[in-house]
Amino acid sequence: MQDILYIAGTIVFFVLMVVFAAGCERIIGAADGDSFPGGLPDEPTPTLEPKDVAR
Amino acid sequence: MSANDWLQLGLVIVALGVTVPLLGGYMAKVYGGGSAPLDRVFSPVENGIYRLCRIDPKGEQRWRTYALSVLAFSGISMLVLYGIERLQGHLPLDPSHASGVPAPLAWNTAASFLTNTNWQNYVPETVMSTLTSMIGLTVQNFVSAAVGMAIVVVLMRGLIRRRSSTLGSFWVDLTRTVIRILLPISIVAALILVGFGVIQDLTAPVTVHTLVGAHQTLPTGAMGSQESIKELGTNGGGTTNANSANPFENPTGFTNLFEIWLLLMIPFSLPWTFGKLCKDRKQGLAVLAAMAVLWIVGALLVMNVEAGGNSQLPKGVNQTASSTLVGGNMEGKEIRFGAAPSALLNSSATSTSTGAVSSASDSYTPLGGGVLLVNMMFGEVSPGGVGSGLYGMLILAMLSVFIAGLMVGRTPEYLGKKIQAAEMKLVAIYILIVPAIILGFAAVSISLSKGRASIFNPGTHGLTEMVYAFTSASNNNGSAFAGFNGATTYFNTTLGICMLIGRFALIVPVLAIAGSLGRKQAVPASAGTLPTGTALFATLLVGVTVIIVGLTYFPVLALGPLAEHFIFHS
Repeated sequence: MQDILYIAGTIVFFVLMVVFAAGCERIIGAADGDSFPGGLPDEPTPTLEPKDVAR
Repeated sequence: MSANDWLQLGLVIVALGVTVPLLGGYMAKVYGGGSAPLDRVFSPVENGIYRLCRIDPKGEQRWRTYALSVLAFSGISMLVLYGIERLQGHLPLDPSHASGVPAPLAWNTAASFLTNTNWQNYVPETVMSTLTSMIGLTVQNFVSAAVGMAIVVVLMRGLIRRRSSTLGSFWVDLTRTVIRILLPISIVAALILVGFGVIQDLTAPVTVHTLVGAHQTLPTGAMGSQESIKELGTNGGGTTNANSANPFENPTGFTNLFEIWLLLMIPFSLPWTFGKLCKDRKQGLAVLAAMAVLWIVGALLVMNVEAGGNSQLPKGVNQTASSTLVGGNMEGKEIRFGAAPSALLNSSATSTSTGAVSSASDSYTPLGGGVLLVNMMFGEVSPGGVGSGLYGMLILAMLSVFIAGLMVGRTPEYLGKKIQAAEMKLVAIYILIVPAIILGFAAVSISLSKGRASIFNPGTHGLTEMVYAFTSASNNNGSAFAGFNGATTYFNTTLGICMLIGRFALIVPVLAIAGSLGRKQAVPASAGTLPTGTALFATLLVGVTVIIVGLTYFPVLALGPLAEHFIFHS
């Protein structure tokens, strides 16, 4: 009986990992090409010149 | 620390300094896709395996196919290993007449060796048959290490390749790693170890009569060949219960140093490989420097506090090293090694994912034991296990560029690849999983009577023993603190679950990150790009690693080893 439980548990774990991989694929796919919405800009922020800082 | 202790530490550093460029450069050629040294020797063997297993050596896999291959290979391997353990009493090569391993222990051991953890809830010399050790456990020592190295190679390819949907073939990476890296080095290392006194035979255990008239059974077995891959593959599972403290496994001070060098060799060489493959040596050196700083600081801390002696002994007891006295905190340590060199092996083993020990961690001073625990809590990145150490550090590097990006308001980039929302979600999953299972399982176990029953020491030390067990299992380290009975159905099962989650629930997001990065185009460096091949970035990497561990684990460390330290000195 214990053997069946441990073998079944092992199979269930690896099936869950396959599902987890599918979830990770969705994360990548959903955000494909996206940056941080409303967050960090894609392009580097222009560096402040000393005259700007002085101003 | 004595001059001898400093000399031994220096020898390990010098040996690594010589090895890292050589082995790192060699591995870059093995994984680079072009010709590699000794092709004439290795190619026929590999081609034979490819033909036998119907593998297309030029075939490439997308990240998800690669992940499915890893999961299928690992799942089947675990079931086969479990079957061998359960049926060993009916199989050949069983000179000690070992019966089948009980189901919970067999499952825990299968999970342990599959995940490169090598946690052992049993006495190896009496429980496992020679056949189980050779075709079950030792085979996993090779392939579990090779799986870790294959994963980091995929992550490197993801960072390096441009607009590529494929990242190599798992079967080819696995075969090349075993045939070209692990087997040749471990064969040479085994011969050296046997030459210096490690035993290697296939006879039954020997019963001897001691001088006082008692009977003692001496273990035998293929220890030299097991010992070499045990260290080289950062596995750590010993052929004897005392592991590398047993003189049959680790007979002299030289073999102790040799084993330390072996277990650090590949993890420290892989960043060099990384630098070579991305054609920017500074990138590899920055990661290598961060790993080296974390390792050396941890090792010096443990060596110093253990060489400093045990504060609980009466003041008249001389613990100072001299020509006639080893000196230091010698409880649970071997006189032939001394306090500091013993501490160097245990610290290096917990800094990698090696479960080997040459002294009893439970007998360390609270701070010494605490540092061993923290080494694992870093997530095994200093330098970590073979492959797993570098992919852990590269994940932390992505987190570091993200944090730096937040500070200055720029999109984070690593090796020209934009680190965007998808990668950061996967990085967050990677970083949160292990602390969640360590702290969750430890908290539940300490609240259950069946959990507390396994703790041999009360109070703060008992808490450390419990947390150490789950930290070791979840980080796939495998070293035991001792003073803790893990050989119950509850702990065999829960620790096994932690090992599996700590391995595969991290591998999957790493492969996904590799897949995501691999299909991106690299952007040219601009004035807003954070240079990642610099000492400043290495410092940032160390800082991020320490802060993450500090914020996550400080409460439990305060209740465990830190509280015990202050109680000792109150």
